[in-house]
Amino acid sequence: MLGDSDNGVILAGYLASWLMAGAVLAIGAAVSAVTKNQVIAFVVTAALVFVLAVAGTPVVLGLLQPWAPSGLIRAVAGISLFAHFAAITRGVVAVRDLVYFLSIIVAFLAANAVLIDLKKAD
Amino acid sequence: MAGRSVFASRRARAWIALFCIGLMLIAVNIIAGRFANARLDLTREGLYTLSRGTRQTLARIDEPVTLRFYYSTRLGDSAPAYGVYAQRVRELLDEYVAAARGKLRLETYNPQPFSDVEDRAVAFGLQPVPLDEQGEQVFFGLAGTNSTDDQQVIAFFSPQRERLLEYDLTRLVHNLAVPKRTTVGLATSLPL
Repeated sequence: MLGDSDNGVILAGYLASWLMAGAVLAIGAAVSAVTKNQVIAFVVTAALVFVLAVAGTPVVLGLLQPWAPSGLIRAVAGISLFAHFAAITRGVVAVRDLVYFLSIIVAFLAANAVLIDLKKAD
Repeated sequence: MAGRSVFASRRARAWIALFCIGLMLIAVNIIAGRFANARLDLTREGLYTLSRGTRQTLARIDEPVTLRFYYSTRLGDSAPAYGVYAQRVRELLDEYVAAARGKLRLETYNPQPFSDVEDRAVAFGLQPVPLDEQGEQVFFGLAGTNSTDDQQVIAFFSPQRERLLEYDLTRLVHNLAVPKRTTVGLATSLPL
């Protein structure tokens, strides 16, 4: 009734959303390690994820474009969560997108461990 | 006193660890962006994998074919959707080159305003697109030539034709690889 669906693309969509959720959760965990209050942790995490999410949008790139060198513009576009998310949801799982999400997850979990270890002795 | 210095060094060590983590995060992504091109195509129709017809066409090329890919990075900087599409085109062209075993040459140009490269792009018949009010023009097209000076052009890669991208590219390469014989007509009053 709904036509023929492309299950590979659907699978890729699930994979992308899991990776995205993992990255955001890792960032959230690291941020809550440095804050005392969960509301502050939530707000700071939301702000950080917002920065990562809007990095690749035309508005931000338009602000940079008049003065920033091309390399910087591409770097800012490259840290965008949504650019990598969209790349996977097309149905193509590229190593660079996997590396992007997994490296964010690993880095923020490692930072989390370091921060908790630092606070433990207080 | 001793306790305080231990605290200071612990703090310093934590900062160093965080700094190293940040550095690794950046380094890993730069390396992956440069060198890791492997990908897994999960679409059922293999939209992002070369089809058999394309592979056959590429295997049949006798004379070398040169493709000149014109893409202004300014276009991708101001409209990221085009940047993503340009990368896709670029990667597909790289796969063509790899599958053609040396019979296909790819040159990439980033035409600057008022440069020779831009003039050549216009001469090939690529379509310049105005980017802003200052009249800066950007290019996103492909010009192919073969050893007998035939020319085939994709004037502008429109994202609306993304599903037909492989067809367009393969047709262009095929027309260059198998040039049609020209028909010569002769009209004369002389008895032949």
